[in-house]
Amino acid sequence: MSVDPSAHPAAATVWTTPAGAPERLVWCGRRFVVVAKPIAWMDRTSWWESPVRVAAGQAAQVVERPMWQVTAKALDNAELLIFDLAVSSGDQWPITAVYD
Amino acid sequence: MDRFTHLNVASAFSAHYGTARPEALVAAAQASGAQAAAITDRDGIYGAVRHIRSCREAGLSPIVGVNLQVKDAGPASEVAVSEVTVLAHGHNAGAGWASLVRLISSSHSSARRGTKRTPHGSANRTAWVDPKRPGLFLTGESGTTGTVLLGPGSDVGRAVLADDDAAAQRLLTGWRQRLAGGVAVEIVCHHTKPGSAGSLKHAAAMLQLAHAAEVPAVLTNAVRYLEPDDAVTGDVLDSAAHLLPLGDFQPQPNAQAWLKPPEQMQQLARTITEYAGLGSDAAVDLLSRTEQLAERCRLDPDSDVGWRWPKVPELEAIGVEEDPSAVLRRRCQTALSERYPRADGPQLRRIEDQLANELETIGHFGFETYFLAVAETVDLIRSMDVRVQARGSGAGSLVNYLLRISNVDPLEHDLLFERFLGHARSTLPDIDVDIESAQRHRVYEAIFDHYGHHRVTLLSMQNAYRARGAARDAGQALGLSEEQVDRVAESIWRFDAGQFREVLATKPELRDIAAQVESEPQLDMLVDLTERLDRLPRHISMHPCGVILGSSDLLSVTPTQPSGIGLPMSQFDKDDIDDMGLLKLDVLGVRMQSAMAHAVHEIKRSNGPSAAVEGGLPVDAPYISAAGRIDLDSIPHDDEATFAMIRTTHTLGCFQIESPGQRELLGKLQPDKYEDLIADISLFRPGPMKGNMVTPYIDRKHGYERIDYLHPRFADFLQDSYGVVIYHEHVLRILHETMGVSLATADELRRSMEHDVETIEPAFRAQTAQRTDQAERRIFSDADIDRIWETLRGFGSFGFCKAHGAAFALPTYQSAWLKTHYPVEFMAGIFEHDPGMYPRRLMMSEARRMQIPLLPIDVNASADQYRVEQISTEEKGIRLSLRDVRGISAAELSRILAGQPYASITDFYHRAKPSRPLMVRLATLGAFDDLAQESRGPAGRGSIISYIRQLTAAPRKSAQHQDPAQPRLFNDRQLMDASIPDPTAAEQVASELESLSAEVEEHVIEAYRPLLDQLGVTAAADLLRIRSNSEVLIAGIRVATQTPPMRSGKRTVFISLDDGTGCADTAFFEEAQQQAGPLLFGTQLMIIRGRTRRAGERGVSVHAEEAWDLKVAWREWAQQRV
Repeated sequence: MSVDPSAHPAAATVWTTPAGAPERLVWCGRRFVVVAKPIAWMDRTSWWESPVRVAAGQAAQVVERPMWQVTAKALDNAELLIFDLAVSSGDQWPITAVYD
Repeated sequence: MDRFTHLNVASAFSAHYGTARPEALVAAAQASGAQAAAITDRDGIYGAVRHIRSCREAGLSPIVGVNLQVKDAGPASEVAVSEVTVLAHGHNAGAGWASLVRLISSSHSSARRGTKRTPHGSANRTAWVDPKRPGLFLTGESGTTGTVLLGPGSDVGRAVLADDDAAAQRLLTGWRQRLAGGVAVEIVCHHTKPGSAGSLKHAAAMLQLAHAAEVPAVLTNAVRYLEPDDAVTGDVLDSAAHLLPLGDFQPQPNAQAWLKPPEQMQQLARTITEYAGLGSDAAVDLLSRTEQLAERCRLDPDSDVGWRWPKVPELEAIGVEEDPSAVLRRRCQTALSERYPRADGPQLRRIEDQLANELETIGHFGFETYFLAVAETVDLIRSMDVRVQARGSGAGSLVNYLLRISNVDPLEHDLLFERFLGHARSTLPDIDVDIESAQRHRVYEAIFDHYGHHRVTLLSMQNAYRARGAARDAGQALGLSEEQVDRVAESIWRFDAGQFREVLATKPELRDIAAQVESEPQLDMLVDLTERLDRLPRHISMHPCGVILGSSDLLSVTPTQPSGIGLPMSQFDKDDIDDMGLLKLDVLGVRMQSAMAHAVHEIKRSNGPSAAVEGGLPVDAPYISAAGRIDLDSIPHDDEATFAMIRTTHTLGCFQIESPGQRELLGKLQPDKYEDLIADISLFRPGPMKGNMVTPYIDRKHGYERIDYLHPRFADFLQDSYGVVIYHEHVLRILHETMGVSLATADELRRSMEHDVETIEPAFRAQTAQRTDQAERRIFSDADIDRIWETLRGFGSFGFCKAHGAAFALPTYQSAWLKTHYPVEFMAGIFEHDPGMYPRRLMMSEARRMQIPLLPIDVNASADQYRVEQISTEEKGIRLSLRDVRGISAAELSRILAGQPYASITDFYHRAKPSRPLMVRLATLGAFDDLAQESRGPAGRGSIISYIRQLTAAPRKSAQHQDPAQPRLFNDRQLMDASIPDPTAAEQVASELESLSAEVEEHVIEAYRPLLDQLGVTAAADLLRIRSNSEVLIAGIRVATQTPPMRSGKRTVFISLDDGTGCADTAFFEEAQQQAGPLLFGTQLMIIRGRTRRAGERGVSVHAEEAWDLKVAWREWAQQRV
């Protein structure tokens, strides 16, 4: 079941493994640890909604964005949640979906 | 092992889906070290021949398959649609290929269609098979002939996704039972969102299923593009397939479906097996199973496809029972005396030598069957009383002339067989045949019946994106308004979509759009996306003229699918035919042939035995039968009246010579013999224009310049062009004379000259210098050689094939002859078949100029054709056809015709049963005016219309009970209210335009008359009376836009305006194009200011300086007046 994301902040603070997979995160002031093997996946974008150049040969990165789906346990009450996290260069990663 | 063979690859020939050409995909496969490459397009093997060709060139083995939809044909209301990929097995003497081909054809079977309307958009694929069919088609006598890949989109894959293990196993078992040894589970991981189709989880579950069921599993990447960058193109294509903007439909999940290199695919295999918990052996197994299947599906182009192996009809199919070369020789010999009844002595020997020469060449290639098949087909067409005429270089062949394939005498025009069929040719030459367009379907049916439906199919063609269509689809994808898209699309004029951005900066008509691109990011994107679509195939359609003839195995060679006219068409296009060893007949429907046939028919129908007198022709003319039937192919080619008409340049409606540029050329050239007409048509081509052959021809013809034959030995064959080297045939003869080479070799030299003229210079100089006469003296001096070489070098690639010109000149001359001698009948033919470049409205203006009365639609007098009607003993007119009334249905038309004549309006209404809107439309067109006319004089149009509105308002049923024999109390006339005013002239024009797409009574431009009068606009018909170089204003509706080849290479835009008095031709050169900008191609009603320029005695055109949109000008003028 999906948790209504609009009721919660749409980003989390993420700590990753050396290889780049999320292993800990803070969301809504709650601390979570990843408890299962994270799954890398690729989401698509609505590139036509923002002014990007889409000339042939220049748009290899336009359509996709890399994602991780992680199962994480809250340290406060051991609640298990599944997060879809969009990979970011900093530690603030957008969350596109949260499931319980 | 570091090889990986992609087994599921959609190319751009999966229309609105794939983005990469087969050639590019094969090149990438080769670069990655593959030994085989597959193509598996949707619903067909449209790209297979190109794929095989590329594979052969790259040294790879081709693999060919197809992606098919699978539906249960059962009665279920909501049938689940799934898809499979089917690969043909190879090295089985073509059994795999044949199975695949027949399976594909069956998926397109038209029998199943038409029950339910399919939704629009190519996303709704119409081809499908039921689950049993692959098994039936792929089980051959000696085992399985193909493999079905069950991927994530298959019924098995869907069940796995739904976590329905039992269903997945049951479905998989079903496939295995139906196709033992021909099923593989296709593992695809596109790293989509976990849990969705193509996700890692889905792939792993599929692999687990395969392991559990012990079915081989293979890895593919379900490829639809070459590189990740192409995913944007994929999005736009998906939008085009759904006919919806991006964001309004479920888009592709991401950009993973590209042709990934082997390392990435191997990594993918490890990721999947690891996720599935199967260990590293399983990854190796998955990859090696993939390669094993690839091995099994490698096709041998020779033994599996019969690459380049002729598959021509069996001899009995073309009615030949003995040695075809003997038959061909005999038929030609017999025809000699028919075609050349007066030939004797040396001339006959010359003809016989030529025949022997041609037969030898034809025999050398083994093309006898081909010539006989074409002759057989042409005979068949002629036996149906359909006009037929050969076009193209085939007119250079005496054999074609003798077989009556061509009606152009190659000896009369000094044409050369070697230009048509030399020694170097290995593929079949093209013999193109023109027929009446209106009879085309009937002719095709007859060809199918004649040779057998298992030996014949139509050729298809791939329609590729050009700039306009690409901009429209890109605009739709971005969700631009229809208005915005229209504005861009209408300003696009003939350039490749791929150059859009480049062109944007240079073309004046795109100036406004270029400015918007700067400020609006969406338009900027539109330009990028348009360029991406450039030349991608959009859809397949029937080729306009190609008919494939094959052996009785044809339907195992090419898949077919229904064409627009019901007959099957091949999935191959013209570039595939030679490699597939198939024979193609070019049978092109030409509207002018239909127009001429109609004219000939009307001449006989309306004149009968007095046809010759009516046409001002000798009563004993041998080409007119006693009943008035004219044999157009026998009319003399030296009719001065015809040439006189052509010289007036009033050639609207005549084949090939009605365009503004052509009329201007005719004005200067003033042709007075048939050879001039051939020259005129040949000169009006890009090559001769750029090669500056026009001016010397005209100057020499009119004696302004001395005729120079370059060398006395050339005088004979350069007679036809006053010594100007125009034709390919001229060059062949020059090289033959100078270098002493055969004409066939000369043609090869000419072809190499087209690429680079300098390449032949050393050989030309050396060999020509060596030529000596009997007394061992040199024939060509060094000065001669220099002079001849200069001409040849100037000729380069610029000439034209005279055989083409001569073949084109025939219908040109015939149509001009008809227009001269039978103007009314000719124009009826023009209206009936609309053959030319201009809209019918301009042709109606032309008829008015020719003082031919146009008789309005009349429910009693009009037929379903444009007919000639005798108005008085002196005068004939053209009665307009009911067929062109807007909205008339075929059923209404035939009821109206069956019920003629009608006694009254009510009688018509009850018996012909037209729809109410049609009834009103007929009234506004005056179709009841005659019926309403009685002793008290004609009823007004206004009162008729009003009466009909009343009449049709009541339900018809009640009226039907009336006994038609019972006299009614009131007749129509008494029921009409005479006080209702008639429509104004402007209203009348508007309704005629609306109902007929042409004005009968008054021209559309008349609505703007007050403004035009105030401006002092000149009528098109008066332009000739004005001195050259006078400034004029003209106004009218655009009837033609052309950008013909120009000597300078710069673009000139010719716009022709019709103002009801005729056609005013304007030319926009660079500066005027700048000024006109967006008006150049987008505006219909225009005012143009410019200077008149006389072209020859009769021609006049306007050099435009400035242009306005008439509607805009009118609005501004009207506002000022209030």
